[in-house]
Amino acid sequence: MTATTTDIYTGAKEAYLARIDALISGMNGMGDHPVHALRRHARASLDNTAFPDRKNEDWKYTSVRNLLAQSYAEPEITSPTDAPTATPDACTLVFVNGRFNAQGSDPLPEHVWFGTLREALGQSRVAESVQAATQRILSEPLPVFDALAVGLAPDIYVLAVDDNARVEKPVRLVHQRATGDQAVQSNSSLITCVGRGAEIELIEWHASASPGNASYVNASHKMLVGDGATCNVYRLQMTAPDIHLIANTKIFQERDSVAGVYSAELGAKLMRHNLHVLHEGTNITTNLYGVFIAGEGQHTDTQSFIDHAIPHCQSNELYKGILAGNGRGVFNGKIIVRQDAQKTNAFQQNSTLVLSPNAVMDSKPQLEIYADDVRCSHGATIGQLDEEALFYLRSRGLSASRAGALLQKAFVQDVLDHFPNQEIAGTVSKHIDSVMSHISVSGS
Amino acid sequence: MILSIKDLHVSVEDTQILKGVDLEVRAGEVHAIMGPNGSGKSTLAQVIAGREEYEVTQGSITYQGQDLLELEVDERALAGIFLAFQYPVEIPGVSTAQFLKSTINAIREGRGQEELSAIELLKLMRNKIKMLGMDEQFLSRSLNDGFSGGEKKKNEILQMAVLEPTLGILDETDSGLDIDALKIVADGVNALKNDNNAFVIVTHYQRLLNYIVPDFVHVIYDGRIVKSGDKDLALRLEAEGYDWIKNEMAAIAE
Repeated sequence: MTATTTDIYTGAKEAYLARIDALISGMNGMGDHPVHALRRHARASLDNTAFPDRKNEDWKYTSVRNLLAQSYAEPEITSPTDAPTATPDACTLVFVNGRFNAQGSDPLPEHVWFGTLREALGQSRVAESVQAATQRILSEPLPVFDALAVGLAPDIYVLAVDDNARVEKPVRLVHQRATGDQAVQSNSSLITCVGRGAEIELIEWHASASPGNASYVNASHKMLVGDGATCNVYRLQMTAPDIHLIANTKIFQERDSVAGVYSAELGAKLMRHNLHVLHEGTNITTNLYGVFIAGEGQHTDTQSFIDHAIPHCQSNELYKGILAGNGRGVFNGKIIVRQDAQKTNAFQQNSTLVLSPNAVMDSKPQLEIYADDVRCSHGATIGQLDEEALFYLRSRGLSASRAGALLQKAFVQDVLDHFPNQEIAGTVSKHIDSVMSHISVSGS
Repeated sequence: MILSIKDLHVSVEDTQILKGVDLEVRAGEVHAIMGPNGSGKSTLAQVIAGREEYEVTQGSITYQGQDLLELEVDERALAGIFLAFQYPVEIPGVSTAQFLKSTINAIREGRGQEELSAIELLKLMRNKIKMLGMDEQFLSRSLNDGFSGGEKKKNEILQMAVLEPTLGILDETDSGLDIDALKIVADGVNALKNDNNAFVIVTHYQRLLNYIVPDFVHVIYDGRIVKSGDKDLALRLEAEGYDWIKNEMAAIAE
């Protein structure tokens, strides 16, 4: 058994390295250009590591074996599959299999620049901040799936916000897959640079109405949030129930900045979000809030890591999940408070409702505190619907299923209440309702 | 006849709590059920509402001609039974207005009536709130979440007022209330009371009965109704306590 396992993991690594090599050799003459440097960095990162098996503590509850064992077709370049559904008023940028599609996209709002990394470096408006972001990415090895995305994405894109600009409309990044008969493996890579004192809201929209032919999507998003800037990212993930999605988000926060990631993980067969936040200055606030729902045949895994390296910073983290059928949920909340990071406030809570005896939740708070003057707390609860509350609601005429649905919604409501943009929370809330009505039918 | 209980025996986890209760409630009547702690009066209220942990081992409950014990909890509510809880449950994340909307429409649907529009619902809720002399900010708060004891009980009466039950059961709603809150509860019952409905008020104290005048007062002791009378019985219990009842029972036993 060990031998076969090793074969799959190393075989996949070799295949992916070969794909990156092919891409790099097609970039002849670019020399030390940062795009080239990032691809080579991704290749080196992958080469120096291995795909994680279950012995890897961070992957103990999520196996990527099947994901790696399957063969995928190269994604084709195609046009958008369907017009994205209306959301709160937003500027939409469409990506198909990781490639930007201008035709399906809206004109950019004022103060926002978007283009490829190559184009960005030629633009004086954004070149400096993009250079800085690239240097940061090159300064440390990329985690394995992040390396795949950066190494194989059809292009590396940049979204930049001017210093001190307040972008009124949210920018919505719609990730689509091209439909086809074969399972494809697609990658996307985006670098967001939010200038000093700027404010922007992003919506990461992973949606697919139709089944996805068991495709595997790998996404990388790096964010650099400048001094005093505010960047809130809303993730609405409701991909088809046969999609494998590994999202890699890394946020570099500079002093006095606020970064928030507000997630709704509602779809996919296998979803893994690696969310890593690094504090690089003082007086930083990080808010991570999420709802995750998994029904029959679904697996959802959020791994967050907040690295408190500087004094006087705070982080708030609340993830709530609902599992039905044989759905599996994983939450791993790692927080490091380094020795210098005095006066850190770090709060973390994960609560999950497990509606069926076959559903499984693994919750692992992981706090490592090396400073002595800090306020940190964490908690994890896993439970069922409150019988007393069910009886109360039923005694008011609600059927058992309606009472259950109301309590489930109430359970995740406080996560939505934390969304700074309540219009987006309203949209997310509607999608949660529709997903829950579905899982409670097929679920428990 | 709204409610007819015959020889009702109920046990919880093999402990016999009710040992043969008989009670008949007709339209237009208010019944008070009194008794010392542990006598079984709350159990009676819970069994009528449909609490599953209580096992009926003998006897029957007939509600408007149908076998009540055959109905699910929510079916009983749709049929017009309302229990005001002794300890209303806190449900963070559901606003009182949202909850009332769901429950009103569930009950209307169950009765074959059309759903109310958002405007009609709001109007109905506002009217009832005004009728009870309550504050409108109730509606936007999470259901019972962080409410004081009095606020929770008022909220129960508000729910009863919007759902307009045929049989309203108050399970020690008056416990722990100050006089002002007590009056709101009593005014609610008095305003709802008509010739077509009935109320069963389970209480430990006579005080509430100064504001809601019962047609009948029953004393439950050791799982049976041992004495029934009019409102004067409640006054005697208030003045003399339950010892004389216990003594009479002991005398009969000998």
